[in-house]
Amino acid sequence: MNKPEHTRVTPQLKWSDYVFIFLIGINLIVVVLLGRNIYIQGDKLEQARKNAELVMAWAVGVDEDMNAGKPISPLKCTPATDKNLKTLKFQPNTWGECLADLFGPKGKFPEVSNTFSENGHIWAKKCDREHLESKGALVFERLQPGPTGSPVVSELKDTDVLLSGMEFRISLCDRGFWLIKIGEAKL
Amino acid sequence: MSSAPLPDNQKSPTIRRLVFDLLFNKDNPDGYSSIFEKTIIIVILVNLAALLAETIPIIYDSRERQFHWFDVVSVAIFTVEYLLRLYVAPEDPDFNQDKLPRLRFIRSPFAIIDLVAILPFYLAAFFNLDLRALRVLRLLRLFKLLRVFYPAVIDFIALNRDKTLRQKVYAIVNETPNSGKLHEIFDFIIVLWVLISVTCVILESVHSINYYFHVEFIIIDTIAVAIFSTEFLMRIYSCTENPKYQHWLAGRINFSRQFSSLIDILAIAPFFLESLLDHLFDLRFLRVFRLMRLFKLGRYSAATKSLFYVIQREWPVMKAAIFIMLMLVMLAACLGYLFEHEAQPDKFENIPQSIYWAVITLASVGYGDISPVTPAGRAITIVLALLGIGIFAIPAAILSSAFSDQLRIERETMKQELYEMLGDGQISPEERTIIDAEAKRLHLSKDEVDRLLEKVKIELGLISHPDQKGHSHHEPHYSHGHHESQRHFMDLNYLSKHPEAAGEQFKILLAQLQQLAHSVDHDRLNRYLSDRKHATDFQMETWEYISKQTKKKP
Repeated sequence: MNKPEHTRVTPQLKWSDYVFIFLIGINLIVVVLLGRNIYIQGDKLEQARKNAELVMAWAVGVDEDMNAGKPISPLKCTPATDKNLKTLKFQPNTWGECLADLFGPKGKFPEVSNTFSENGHIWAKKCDREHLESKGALVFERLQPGPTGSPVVSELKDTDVLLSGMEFRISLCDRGFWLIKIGEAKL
Repeated sequence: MSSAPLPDNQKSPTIRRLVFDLLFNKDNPDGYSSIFEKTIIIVILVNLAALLAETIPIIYDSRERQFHWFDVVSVAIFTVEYLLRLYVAPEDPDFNQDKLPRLRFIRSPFAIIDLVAILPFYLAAFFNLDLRALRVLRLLRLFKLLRVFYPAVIDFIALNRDKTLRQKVYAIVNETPNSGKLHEIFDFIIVLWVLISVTCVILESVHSINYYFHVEFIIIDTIAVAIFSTEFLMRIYSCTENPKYQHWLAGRINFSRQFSSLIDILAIAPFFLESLLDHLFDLRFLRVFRLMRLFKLGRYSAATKSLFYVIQREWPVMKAAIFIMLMLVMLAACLGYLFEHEAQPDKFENIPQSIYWAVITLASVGYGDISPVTPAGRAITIVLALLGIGIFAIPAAILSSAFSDQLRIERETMKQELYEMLGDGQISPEERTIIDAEAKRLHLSKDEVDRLLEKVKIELGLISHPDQKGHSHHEPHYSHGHHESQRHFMDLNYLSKHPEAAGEQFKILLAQLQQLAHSVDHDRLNRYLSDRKHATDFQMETWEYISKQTKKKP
């Protein structure tokens, strides 16, 4: 049976109650701080993804410009055609030269940087947990037709010659060092 | 000629009264106030979701028109609600004491909130308001939830005024007599967030969706973790109020070892581990564990609890069935390997691969990626396929029969509780609430509960059997003079607690015996009972006594 209203007194808080309130507060602060950190990282990833989409749009444009016979910007990214390769004195462009020009101060994307850290790479050979600079970097991989029909993915080296019709994949190295596919393109 | 006015209780109810009783009167059990209230809550929550969705260009830009119409419909619903409340204010006990009940309603805090929730929409029709300002003002609709939340808090405070903080926390997270509606709201929030977060985890795995809503998913997950971790701390802190976990440390350790507590930990652990350790290890697999949040719903489902209990109870039998199943799988795999390895070394390469084939065949799945080609292999496949149907059905059959058995036991338990509740001959409103809650848990419809209640009342002799035409349904058996012989015997449990009823029952039995002594052939009955096979000495002596007394007073 309920006690009469006037005899019901709210008990004083005990030390264990204070510990509980303290833990609830600490927990909420920790969750908010960690959540904020994840949000900032997510925001950086969002920015990196937008940058990657710009590069992707450029890569798609290269194929269209090649088909239309227009000059490629930057010139160092112009792929060699079969006709060029038959010319003896022709010096084909390499992937490394193309990237250096593309992201250089006078390149197509001078404003693109690694959104995760100032010292981070803009592009990396692979997404590698042992190389923290690769976090947030663009990863370019070469796609070649495999024996079963599905493409075989291989590393795109700096010394690889840019050939017309060369297919490659653009991915982004996430904060957890896993690849996020942005798209595939053809030179 | 003027007729005298009818007394108030004989007047037919006005439309206003009908509307109030139907939609707003919480004391009317036949009304729809609860459904109406829930509908408004759902509209408010969907409004909030729509408001958040409008801030995401990819969703809003292509569906601007649909969002606008949704807003129009929402405001229409809220306006109708406001006008209805205004209309029925003279019937509402909160306002009808005042001379001007409608004015009193308009001045009440909840009515002001209701008005503020819809006013910006109408103002926008006359003034050119900034869209962002309008969105912010639409957030005010959230305050409408106070109409549900505020009374629940006040009620909870009143119920728990003399309770410690831990007792209050226990009453919020567990259903107790002091929990009130606040506990229901707490449960609703947890269930809602479980569903939201699990939906987000599923959608996150869709690349195209995660691509655009990555940041939104982070925000939702953080809020979910904040809610679930707070809930977990509240449960751990208050579990010592449960007599099973009374010790301040050992009790809490035991509580955190419970299955439901482990689920609570698994629901929040991925967030902390991934946030702190993601640069050291690839912890993507932990994200899948967030789906474990779905198991939290098991706490709110009586059927899930029953199922776990049934599995626990039937585990020895299930173990035997699983053992037989494993034996058969191993035997089939060995035979498959023996007969098929030479013919198909790539498919039946080793026994583990054969085990895969055996399980797929026995379970009647039959993908067909590995199939036998030799006559002996095909022969055992035929046997396996036939056996598999029976063997794999055994655990399912055990579980289904045990589950229905468990339901029967629980219904019997409820019947026993009804016996105890009807000890005083009637069901109080509190007892009715308990019965309704128990019926909900056992998935019994109102009709089924009423039938069960009637059955118990008949067995207790509180009402007549429906077959007995012309008898009052509300009079106890023992008060009927000459129909005793047609009635059921009262329940011993009831009689043991009610000496007056036991005395009446004794008299009925004695009268029946006297009637018997009058009408039966005494010689034949004496011969029958004198045989030791048919009656004990005590029975014979009692019969002789009754027979003698009946002869004395014909």
